[in-house]
Amino acid sequence: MSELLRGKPRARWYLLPLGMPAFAAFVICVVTGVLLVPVYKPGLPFDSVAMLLLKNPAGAYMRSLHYWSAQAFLVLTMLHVLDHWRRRSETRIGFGIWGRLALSIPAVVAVMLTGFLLRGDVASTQALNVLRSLLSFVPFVGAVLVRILTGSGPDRTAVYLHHAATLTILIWLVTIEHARRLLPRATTTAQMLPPLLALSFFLVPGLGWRATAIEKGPWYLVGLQELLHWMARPAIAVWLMLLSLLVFILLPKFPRGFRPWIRGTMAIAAGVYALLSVMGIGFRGEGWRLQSPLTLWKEEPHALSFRSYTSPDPKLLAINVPIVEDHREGCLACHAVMTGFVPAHDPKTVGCASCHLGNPLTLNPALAHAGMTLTPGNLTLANRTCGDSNCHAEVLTRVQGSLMNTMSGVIAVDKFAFGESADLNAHFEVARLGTSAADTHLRQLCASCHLGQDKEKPAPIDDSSRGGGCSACHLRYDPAAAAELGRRGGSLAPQHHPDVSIQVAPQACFGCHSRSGRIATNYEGWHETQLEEPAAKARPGWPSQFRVLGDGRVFAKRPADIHFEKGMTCVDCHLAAEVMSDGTAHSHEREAVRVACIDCHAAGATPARDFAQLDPETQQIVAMRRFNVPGRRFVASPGGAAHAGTFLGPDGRPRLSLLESGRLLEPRVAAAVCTGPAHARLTCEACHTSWAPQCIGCHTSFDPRAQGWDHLAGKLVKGAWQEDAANFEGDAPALGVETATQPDGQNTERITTFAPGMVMRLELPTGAKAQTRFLRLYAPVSPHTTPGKARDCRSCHANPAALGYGRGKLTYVVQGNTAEWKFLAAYPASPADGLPEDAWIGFLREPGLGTTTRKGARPFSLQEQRLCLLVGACLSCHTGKEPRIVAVFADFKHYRRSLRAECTLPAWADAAVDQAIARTGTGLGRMVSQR
Amino acid sequence: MTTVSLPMPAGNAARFYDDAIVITEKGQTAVFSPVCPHLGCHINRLEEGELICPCHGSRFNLRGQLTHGPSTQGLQPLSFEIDAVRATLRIAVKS
Repeated sequence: MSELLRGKPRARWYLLPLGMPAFAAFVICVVTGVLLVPVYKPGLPFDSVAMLLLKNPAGAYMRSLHYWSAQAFLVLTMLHVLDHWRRRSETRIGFGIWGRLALSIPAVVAVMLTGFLLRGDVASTQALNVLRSLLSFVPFVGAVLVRILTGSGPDRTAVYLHHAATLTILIWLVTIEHARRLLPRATTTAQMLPPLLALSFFLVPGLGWRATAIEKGPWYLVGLQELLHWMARPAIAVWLMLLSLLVFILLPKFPRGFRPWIRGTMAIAAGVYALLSVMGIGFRGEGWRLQSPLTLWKEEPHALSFRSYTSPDPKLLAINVPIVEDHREGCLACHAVMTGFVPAHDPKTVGCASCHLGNPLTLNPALAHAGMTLTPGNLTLANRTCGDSNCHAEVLTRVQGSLMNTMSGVIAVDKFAFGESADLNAHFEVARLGTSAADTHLRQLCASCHLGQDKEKPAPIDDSSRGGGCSACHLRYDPAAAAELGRRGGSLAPQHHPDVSIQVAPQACFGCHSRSGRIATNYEGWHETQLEEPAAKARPGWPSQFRVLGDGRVFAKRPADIHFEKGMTCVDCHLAAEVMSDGTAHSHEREAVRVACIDCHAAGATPARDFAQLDPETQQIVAMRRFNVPGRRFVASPGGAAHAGTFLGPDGRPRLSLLESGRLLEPRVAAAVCTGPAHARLTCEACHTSWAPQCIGCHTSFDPRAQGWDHLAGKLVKGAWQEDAANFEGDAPALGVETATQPDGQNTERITTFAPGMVMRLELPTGAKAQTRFLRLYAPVSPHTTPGKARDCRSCHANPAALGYGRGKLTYVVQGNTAEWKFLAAYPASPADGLPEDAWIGFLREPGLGTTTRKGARPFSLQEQRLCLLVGACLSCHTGKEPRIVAVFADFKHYRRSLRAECTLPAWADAAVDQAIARTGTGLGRMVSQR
Repeated sequence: MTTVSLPMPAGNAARFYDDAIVITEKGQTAVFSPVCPHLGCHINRLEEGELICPCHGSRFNLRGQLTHGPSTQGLQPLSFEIDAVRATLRIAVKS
């Protein structure tokens, strides 16, 4: 740079004048431009260029030569200007010539920019908008300049005229004066042609077929774009450019002593502009956010090559390429016969490239398929596919923040268990997991299940499927579509596409939800065993009573959920706003659930809404399922959500139309016992759960010598987490108390089902010496094992497992006029805390703190245990269906005096009832319901 | 001013047209000019609940308010009428 400032020439290649090669490139550019005139339509700029690329290989090559000669002209002109700058030409030529040469620099930029604008694609339209805004800032003549130079509206006629005539003639005239010749030397032109012909053959300039998330403009103006990104007052940029041009023109007129300062300032400005250009080109990604150049390179399709001029089948050139979504969709030249779509996703409506990317502006298969994706549902690129701004962008935003994608609840509990976080409601994102012990544990054993896990190749959803973003739920292969997969790579184009719709199959949920709480397998009546497949085969009942999943786990038959037996699938209950998030950042999945059993099973009147009162998303689903029958009212949940597939029948009772079969169900009304005061505090699940999978004696350890699979990184890493369980039980779950926020915002305690969440010995890799933690944390669960008939009274009131003591024998022992409960545990006591391995709390003991994986959840207090066992004491002789037993518990204090002599109660019975009545009022039933 | 007729988006959505951005969220509809107040680019992206100008990165929330520059102003709201029968919006735009 100092040499340039001092003006000492050196005989190096980059300091050659290069004026004549620039002139030659200019003339080649003019000639190719003239040849393009017959095929270019200024009134249809984008379509005429698109048709050139699709159908006119010779024209496409001419456009390529035009483009590359223009780029060569610009670069060589810049180097030529640099050469004049270096040689201080302003002092050696007349002021008039210097001024005209200086003015030709913006003319060169303008002729290049107008060429960019003539592409007519979205990028050029955005550039035209910016140009018009910038021109309008020119003092006094801004508005006139806008109209004269760019015309108005989308028409490019004015731009075309200036590009082809005004600017071209102006530059040629200045060049003639400067070079003192009409045409460049023939030898120079001959030397320029071969590299330009080759470059044009191998690197074909593309055409943007859709809006992108960042519009940088042509490369030589990216520095200006970067500058404008930082400028709230862009007029200043225009004034600075005009001032710089004026100073450059007047440079010879400045006193000799000032010129080094001016030259230095302009050299610094040029350097800053170069840095801004590098910043913009190399580091700016979608939304003008900073990104690494590597990421940018990976995201850009790099498919331009000489193959643009070749087509495997000349017949394709005769096909009329249809216009879809404002652009020619070349994909349909080969794939027009593709079937299997719902109308909204028909390629004749949305094209192929809007989902699968690639390049629709070519008929060459290799080029068309370059940069395309076979798994467009993956969330890593869904903002350009399913979640594109004109498709489902709003849904994508919600899904990205949903618990199925962030796994926030899972992470919060895991970090709590590992002692890395004290807040069970803290928010996390699986994609941002680090390298802590909990993070690596999650990466290896949990992260495969998050929705954002990329699906690697197209495949039907099966019981081993994980992740896949939108496709995880909305993609459904029928046999014809599945058969296409077997023909991949053949010469025949596929003809049947999997269904992409709201018809979400239960298999979509099965893969991930057969893990953890295993609600998917529970629902279908399968309980995981610790058997290997060969051992299972030797068992009685094989194969009908066993099921082996794709990952090798063996499940044994258990009672299925009554809703499954009735043909219901996951989305017959669960709403779009639940599974795809309602936009709220929930901590745990139970908070996201908005449906309730009483939506369908309420004993009284069922709240419902008209179609017009539904939220727009539910309206859309109702319309797609064609349920929008005049007068129909749709069932609304107390949580505010409405069901698209559940509506009131003529008798005012709900009717549920099943998504899979279309069958219409008439849900049963809740029994009287459900609505009585004694059980008002219970969730439906508390009684209507037949079994839940429960892991006993888990042991989680880290082996630093083994290798584990990091699901996020997709590679083997040093050190492996391992989980072992002593036993899997599949019986009735424990009951406990959960704090739930009601629709009115009030927090209320509800008795619900709990299962071991984190009952385990955890060996943490802490430095050189492992640290062992023992955890006995239960989690509130919805096992999805609803039986046809609710559990009986004794299964709660006299069941040690239900009360949290663990499995064993709970006996009511009466001796004379005294009585007491005794418990003999089935599992041995844990050396860590003295409780049986499968217990949650100690027998008739006040539980301590830190017993659950949820904030606001807890086991029964000692008083609640006693009240429950008090009922159990009566049930040791009576059945719960005896009317007098029901009456006794409706007002225990009153009937206590009239109990028979043989009705011996525990010593603590009266005290327990008195304590409860003191807090809540009279009567055991009311006490329980009002607590 | 002229009036253009555009389809009413179904569901919660942001739809981008040459003349307008139509946003429906929680049953409410809003219509804005797609022209970025900064330098006139047409805003055509919705990401993470924000409307983003692709040219220089200005960001606006779904109420059209500026959340991040370089623009110094929010999006211009456009007046509109809902034609419930035809499920369309009649929007007044600059001719």
